[in-house]
Amino acid sequence: MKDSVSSSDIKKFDNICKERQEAINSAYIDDVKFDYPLNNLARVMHPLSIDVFVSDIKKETMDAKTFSLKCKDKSMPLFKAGSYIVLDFKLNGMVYKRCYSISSSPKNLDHYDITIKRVRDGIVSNHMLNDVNVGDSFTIHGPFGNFNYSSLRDKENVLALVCGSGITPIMAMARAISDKLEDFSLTILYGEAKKKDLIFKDELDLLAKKCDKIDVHYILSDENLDGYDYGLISKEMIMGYELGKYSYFVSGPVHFYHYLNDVFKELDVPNKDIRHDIYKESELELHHILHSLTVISGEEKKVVDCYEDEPLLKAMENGGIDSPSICMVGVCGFCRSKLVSGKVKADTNYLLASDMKYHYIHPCVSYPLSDVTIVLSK
Amino acid sequence: MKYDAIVIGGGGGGLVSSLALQKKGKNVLLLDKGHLPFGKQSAFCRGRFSFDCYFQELWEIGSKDNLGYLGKIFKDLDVLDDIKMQSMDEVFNVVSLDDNESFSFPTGVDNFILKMEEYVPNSRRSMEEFFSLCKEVSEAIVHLDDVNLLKEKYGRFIKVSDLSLLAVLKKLHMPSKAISLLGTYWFYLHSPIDKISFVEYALVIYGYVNSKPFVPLLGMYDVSLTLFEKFTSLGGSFKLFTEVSEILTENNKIIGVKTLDGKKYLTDNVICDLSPNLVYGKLINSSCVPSKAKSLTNSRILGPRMVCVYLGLNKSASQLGLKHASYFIYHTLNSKKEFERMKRLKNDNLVANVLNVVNDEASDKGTCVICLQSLIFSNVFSKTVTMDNYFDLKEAFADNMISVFEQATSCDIRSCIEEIEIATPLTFCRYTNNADGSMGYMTSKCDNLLPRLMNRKNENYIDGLYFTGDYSAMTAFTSWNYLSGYDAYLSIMEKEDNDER
Repeated sequence: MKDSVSSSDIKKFDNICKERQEAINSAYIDDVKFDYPLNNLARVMHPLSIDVFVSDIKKETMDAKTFSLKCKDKSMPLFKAGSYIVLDFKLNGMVYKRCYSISSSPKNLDHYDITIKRVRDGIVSNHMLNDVNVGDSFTIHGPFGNFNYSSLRDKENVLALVCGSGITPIMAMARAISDKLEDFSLTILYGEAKKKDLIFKDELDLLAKKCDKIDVHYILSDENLDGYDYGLISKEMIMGYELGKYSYFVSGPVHFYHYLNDVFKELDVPNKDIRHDIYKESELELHHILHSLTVISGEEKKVVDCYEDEPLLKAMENGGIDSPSICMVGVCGFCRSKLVSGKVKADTNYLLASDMKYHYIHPCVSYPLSDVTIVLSK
Repeated sequence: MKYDAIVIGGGGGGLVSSLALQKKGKNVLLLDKGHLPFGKQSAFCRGRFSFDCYFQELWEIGSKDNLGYLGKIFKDLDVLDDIKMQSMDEVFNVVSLDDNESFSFPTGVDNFILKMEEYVPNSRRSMEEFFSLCKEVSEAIVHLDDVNLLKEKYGRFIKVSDLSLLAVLKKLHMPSKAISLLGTYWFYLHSPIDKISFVEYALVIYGYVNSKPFVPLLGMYDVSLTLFEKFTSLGGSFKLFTEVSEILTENNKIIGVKTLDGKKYLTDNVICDLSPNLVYGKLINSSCVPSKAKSLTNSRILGPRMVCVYLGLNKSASQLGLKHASYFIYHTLNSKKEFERMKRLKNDNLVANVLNVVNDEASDKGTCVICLQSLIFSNVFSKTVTMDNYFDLKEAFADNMISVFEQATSCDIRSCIEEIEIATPLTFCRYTNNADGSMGYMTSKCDNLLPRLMNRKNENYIDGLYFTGDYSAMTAFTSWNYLSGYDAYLSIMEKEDNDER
């Protein structure tokens, strides 16, 4: 190509903008379109929050009730079985947030069922079981979570290892399989103290009977009954299902996860075949020692008490500091804040490498080991 | 209190403009609706893996003594030393599924030309001319404001300025095989090679080949967070979880913004890291939007919709036999044909990034992370998707992409998937509010980077309103997001100088 520029080259160059302008001029000057159906669908499937009311309460056991949550004017967003919602619970001027797995099937989006079991001294669970009536309203967030079956990742057979109220997300999976929304074989080993504490037993038995992809076994620790295994879910029980053929879905309290993780290690089960539901409580060994928490948000600065055995977010809740949060288990990142001084300990860590480089923490799972100062990201 | 500038949305462009202005002593407020202000330049964790949401390479960083366009900006913003990066020795590996062939090209102009000569004998001369043209384009592009200088000194630039990539390569008598291979990056520029502007392509490929791509060792998220940290350390203000509901104007001048919580913030300058569809269609009262702004926006066609599959695998890249950091996987090397194929919902073309090949700390030892990206050049996704079929559609899409990758690399990755996440156009809608989940606007023969850049100052139809990011004049090539942010900063400074005079 020659270097010298001819007048026709220059004309072409000058024309570039002209031609473009003509194309623009020929476009219509009506209002600009911004609201596409996909943007609307995204908002419907992922609302910031949903206002619901309790449409039904069902007593499951002595200590557990199922609450059906409905939205007045629309159906609930679709979810994958195994997901959870966060419930804002207002009590005495404070807002408590708690995560509950949805136990109903994604087929019926008319409502979500959550099943709550009494936790000794639990503020929220006790109030939910004692004081909440049909018609009461709540705000919920979600659904969230990654405790879901994936045909691309998981084996065709799932062995669900369940302890206590950990049955709720697995129940949603069983219902979804029965409703043909999920397609995998689900064997449930469901551990409880006594027969009377088993939640959903009748329905689980029925599902197992009518659907050949669902199987359920009960393991009771405090009762030796015919038709039930006695003791705890054990390595031997897990070995009863051919190793290498199953994905393991674990749902229950934190100590149950830790116990099973040791079993999986002994059995050489790869990480990939183990999924567990979010940790809903902490298992760190912490002491009830008083520290002080300084919270900086924009120009404002507030100092509140905090205890070593209580996550920073809870200290903020108690101190009346409005701080963004949703999941309460260190996953969603909404409460992500910068640690300016002091030391904290966290029991789950979903922080990105660069977040650690710049000293960010998740106050919902961080416990103070000294006086602490944080800057809120909001 | 009045801010010198308000930046809406903290993607790459929003962050750079926020920081650059704050660094000049301006009083900047950054607003973002998310809990992280980084738009697509964000990241997330699954199990023991972390994933960048979008793109993973930086373009035109350059070397210490010869910084590239982006390197200079990062240096000026005082963040270059805070982001640890690794350069890549390979530009790309391209696979043709139908012909069962693959070709890989090294960085460095001379190496690249040699490699091409190996694949396509007698391509050398045209390749040399091509790169010398690229060099001229990349020098000329900074002088767009001085047309006389361009005409005097950059004659070859003038000559190619209105031509497509294909047209120029044909003029250079490049062998057709070499043309196809050289055009591999058409995927990134969202058009087949007979439609891509030569100038645009030259800038991208020359930046990659001559100055090497770089991967930030802590991910692209580290670039975002480093920019953000620098901004706040200089006193920059920000509000997250804050969605702008209205941009306020008076006599065609910006006066402030209103947020969903009812608050009002005053300023003369608003920088939008958003689509003009949202800004002109919703945020500014329609009666205050000049008709020129409407016709400009309405003349545009929304860019591609993207599906990303993020995989955490429980084997290392070398165990799997994956040697390349980026695979461009096409059915054929005919971009025109493949572009048409990619208008359909099920298309088998994708780009795969295997980060661990460049950065062995991208995940735990004995594991690796792979990101598969596929583009759809139409609105067929939104036409097909409903709430009921969404999960199935998403999984089927990912399933197919994994199969294509396995076919192209002869690797079994399916049995190694420990974590998987899938982002669809709906996901991008959710987090970025982009119109129909698109990535910027398409370019066309007459509306592409060059005329957009030449006109960008005349097209600030509302005084004090600027755009950065995917939908700005700099188009949707990721590293240019940062450049567009810097450009908005320069425009504001220039306006200030003029006002003082």
